[in-house]
Amino acid sequence: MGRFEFIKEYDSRLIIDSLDPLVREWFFSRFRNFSRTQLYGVLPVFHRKNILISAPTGGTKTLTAFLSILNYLVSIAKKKELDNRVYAVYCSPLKALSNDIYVNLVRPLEEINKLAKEKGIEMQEIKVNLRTGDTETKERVKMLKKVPHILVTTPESLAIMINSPKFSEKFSLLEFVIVDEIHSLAENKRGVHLSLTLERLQNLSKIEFTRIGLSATIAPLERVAHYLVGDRDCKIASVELEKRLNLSIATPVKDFLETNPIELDSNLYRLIDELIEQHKTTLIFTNTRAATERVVHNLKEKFPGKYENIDSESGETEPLIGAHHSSLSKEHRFSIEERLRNGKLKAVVCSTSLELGIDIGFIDLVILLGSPKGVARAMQRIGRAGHKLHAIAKGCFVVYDVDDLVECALILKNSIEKRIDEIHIPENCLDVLAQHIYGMAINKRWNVDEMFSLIRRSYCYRNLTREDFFNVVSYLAGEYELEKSHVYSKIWYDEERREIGKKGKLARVIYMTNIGTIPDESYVNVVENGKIVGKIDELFLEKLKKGDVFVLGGSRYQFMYTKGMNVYVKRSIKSPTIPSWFSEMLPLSFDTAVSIGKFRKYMDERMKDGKKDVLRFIKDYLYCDNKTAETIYNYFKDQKEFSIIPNENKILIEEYRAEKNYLLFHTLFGRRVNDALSRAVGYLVASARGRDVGIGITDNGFYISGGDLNQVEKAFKKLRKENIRKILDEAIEKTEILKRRFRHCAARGLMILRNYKGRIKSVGKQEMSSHFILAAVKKKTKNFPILKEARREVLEDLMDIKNAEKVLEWIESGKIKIVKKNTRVVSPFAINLILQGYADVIKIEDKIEFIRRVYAELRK
Amino acid sequence: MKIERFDAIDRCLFWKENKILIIGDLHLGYENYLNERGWVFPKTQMEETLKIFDAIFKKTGRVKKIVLLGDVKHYFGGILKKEFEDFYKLVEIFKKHLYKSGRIVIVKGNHDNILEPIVNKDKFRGRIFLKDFYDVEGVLFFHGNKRDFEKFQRKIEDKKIKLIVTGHFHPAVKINDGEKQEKFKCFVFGKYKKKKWIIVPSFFPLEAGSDLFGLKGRIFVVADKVYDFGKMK
Repeated sequence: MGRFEFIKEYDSRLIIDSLDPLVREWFFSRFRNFSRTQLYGVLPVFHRKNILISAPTGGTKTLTAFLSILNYLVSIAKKKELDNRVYAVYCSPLKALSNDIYVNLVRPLEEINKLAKEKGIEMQEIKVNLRTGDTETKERVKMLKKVPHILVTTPESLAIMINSPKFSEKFSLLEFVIVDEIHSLAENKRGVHLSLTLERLQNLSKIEFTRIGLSATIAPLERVAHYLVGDRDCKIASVELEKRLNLSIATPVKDFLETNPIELDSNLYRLIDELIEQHKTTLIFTNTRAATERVVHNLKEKFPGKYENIDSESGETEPLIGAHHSSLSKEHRFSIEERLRNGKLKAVVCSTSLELGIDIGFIDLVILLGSPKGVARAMQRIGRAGHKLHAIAKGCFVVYDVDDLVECALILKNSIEKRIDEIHIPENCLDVLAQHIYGMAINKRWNVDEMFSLIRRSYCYRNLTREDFFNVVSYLAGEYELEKSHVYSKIWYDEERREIGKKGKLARVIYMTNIGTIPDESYVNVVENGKIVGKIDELFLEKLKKGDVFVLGGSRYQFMYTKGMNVYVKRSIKSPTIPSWFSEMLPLSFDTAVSIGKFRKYMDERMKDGKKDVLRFIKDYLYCDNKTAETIYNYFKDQKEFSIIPNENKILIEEYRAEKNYLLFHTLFGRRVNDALSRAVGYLVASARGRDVGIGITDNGFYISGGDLNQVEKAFKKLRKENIRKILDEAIEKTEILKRRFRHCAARGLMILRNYKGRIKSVGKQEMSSHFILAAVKKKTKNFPILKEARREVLEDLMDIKNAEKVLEWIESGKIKIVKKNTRVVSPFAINLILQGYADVIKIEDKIEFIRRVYAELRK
Repeated sequence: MKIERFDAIDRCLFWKENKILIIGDLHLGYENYLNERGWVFPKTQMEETLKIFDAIFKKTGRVKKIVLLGDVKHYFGGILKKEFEDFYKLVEIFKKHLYKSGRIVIVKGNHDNILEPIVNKDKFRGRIFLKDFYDVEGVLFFHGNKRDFEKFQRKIEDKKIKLIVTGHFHPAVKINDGEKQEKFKCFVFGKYKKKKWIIVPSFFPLEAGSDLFGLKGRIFVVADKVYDFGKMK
């Protein structure tokens, strides 16, 4: 492993000295001084050191990364030594960055050019080009002739370019690579894909290029730096927030339990309206697309005329509020961003889409409606406020229930104390690996050991085993097939000569048209009276039973039947039987969850003290006001009266009998950990009973329905750190989620081709065929690499098995005790679990046993 | 399990009196069709298909006729090499279980036009017959797509026809016990214009089939044996 060194700010004189006179003059004609981020980051790039620059959003990161590169290019352009090749690659997860790039790259270049002209300095043109999936073929061909010196692109387009025989030559002397928004890439498979792309890019370049990573606040920085550079050395610049934080919590009512939902709702909107009123421009984060629509709709509805301007001349109405989320059209989003920058909107409501660094102008308040579920995310969102240097970033958490309140209070505390939650970076993803091995084999004939060691240079594959590697090679070479013909294999592997190469004339086309890691999501139309009223996630459809009522776009619908890609519904006045947002719900981070558990412990210890003392403690600990403290105090007091206060060292199991027997586990470790724990416990209970059990999961706990306390306790005791992985492997075998993830992995691993000879396969067809393939794969072998990857993805990325193991270790070591309680009513801490728990069934019963039982019941 | 005059054996119907075995859509070569589209995965369709037939013939013994209800092969455009092979293999198996004078009747499905040249081969002459429809003692067999119903309207309405038997729909039903649901192949026994109508599930081993949209009637679920679930709401 390389060395990681945290650096300090450099003296601005050193930076000034490093700049070409022309660039220096330009810089100070535009800015009075270097920003803090620039004091950290400009010089290391000048000295060609790898660097990770972490600074809160709204900083001057992009120009920091580019300044030394521009400086270098200007100096050689003046000498007329610029070659027709790529000097620097700028890679960002966002396709739509033109504005940011314009401000930080194109405009500076134009201004420098103008300045040079004025001074009579002759200079070659420094070319900047954008290449994304939207770039037209004509443009691409042009780029081959007039190669951009600075190439602006996305991870996917970069991967295509390194596989293009002509263009990849232009990288042979690449000197800089900038990875922007690295925090948002590293945590998913796009980042895993990119990490291999970077190693392959390095392999194309004779120069060891300088890597520059730009990140929002994230932890631990060493891990992200390691991701950026692999085994190489890296400097780390942790830039403090240049803005001061002004954080608060607003509660719409005093007592959540005593307030009816209608009153709560109207108070909530009144509160949001007041906050918007008091500020010039407000940005509201809601977490989900559905909530985004709902908030915009309700604000317009409840405050007529207030959120639109009527032009006195034309009589046209112009809205002063807008929605922004990923399902909306590009045009709509651009227009919202544009109007936001021009100060024409009072408020913008978004799900998560405005978290990343698109320039959105001056925001003076960020409202977090509902918990952002983690500190890093909260900081990033709040960082969108006060876009100018040294301004104050003002953020307000608006909460809608008391669990949410406690959660937000802890996130606020951790934000102020800078306790950032840890990033999870997926490793050893075999589907992404398959894609790259295929890509590499297409480029040239490889020695297999050389290929393996190149792959292991990426952080995400540094621990890749030979066995896994060769399994993927075998899969691509068609060796898992029954027939010996290997007609449809993608590569060949010659064991004697230890060489790998491509097969098939269409290889390159297949590869280029199927590359990438973002799965096609499948949505189905919801149809009422022959009209499409919206779309729902296919996973959600799986949950729907005939007669279920769900909410969509603010209306209630009863599910009738499906046909093809349509779901037929009718309007309903019944209350919803199934929450409609779970598929896009953000999970609470483990670290934040544990910090809430700690707070619960302190509260548990103090509840015996006088109310006054406890209130003072809450206010001090959570930096909150009297009203908030009082609400939290009452919540804990109620829990103590009804039941027991679970905490960091105490897992509470409550037995509660309603229409079913519920066993409620208060395990405050976030949904990803609870997903793992509940399925493992559920599977053990189901196996012992020989019958299926229901489970429900939230961030704060989980429940098992079916089985009694005795059975469940026994099962829980059987679960250990050493066996949870094995149990879960079995438990997820029959689940819908494994099927779904298998489809994604099969598409990424190029088992299912979305695009073949120009024919695009619809998601529905992919879905059908992947079910079929999964059945076939399972019949042949247990260790098929793509299936292994689907299991890994479920256990490690969707669930959090690592931290679940940690929790079990704490139980085994006695750090966490288990306590039990029989409750006649649902205790306050468990209400949301019963109401909103993401519900599923652990299937143990054989299909045949099931039909026999149902048939027997029918005959009674 | 009896459905009308037939015994439901696994996913097939058996007419004991006449020793006729009736088989739903086979879609041979589906996997190869996917392969042709660039997908790589292990194949099991033929293996599974033969296994199921093995069990079925154990119950029926020798038969006089085998009626295939169309969509014997999957691929629309032409015929894939593998479909040839699979078809020959299957015919060999069928021959083993047919009387010396036994015949195979295929009623044409949407995917079967290309079968003509194969069926007309010398070695099959007099053994395999490709027909638009087929009737025996008041029972009319045809594939069952929309066009068929239009084309054979007069035949269907013929007074002599008491019962129609089709494939095509791949009927499957989701059985729900309030907590979970599983999907099963099923027969549907209903009515078409006052005529009794049995829809035979697809034979296709790796997938249950499609929901019963718009199809009404008594449901016979195919599992370890066939279960009569009565009329579905």
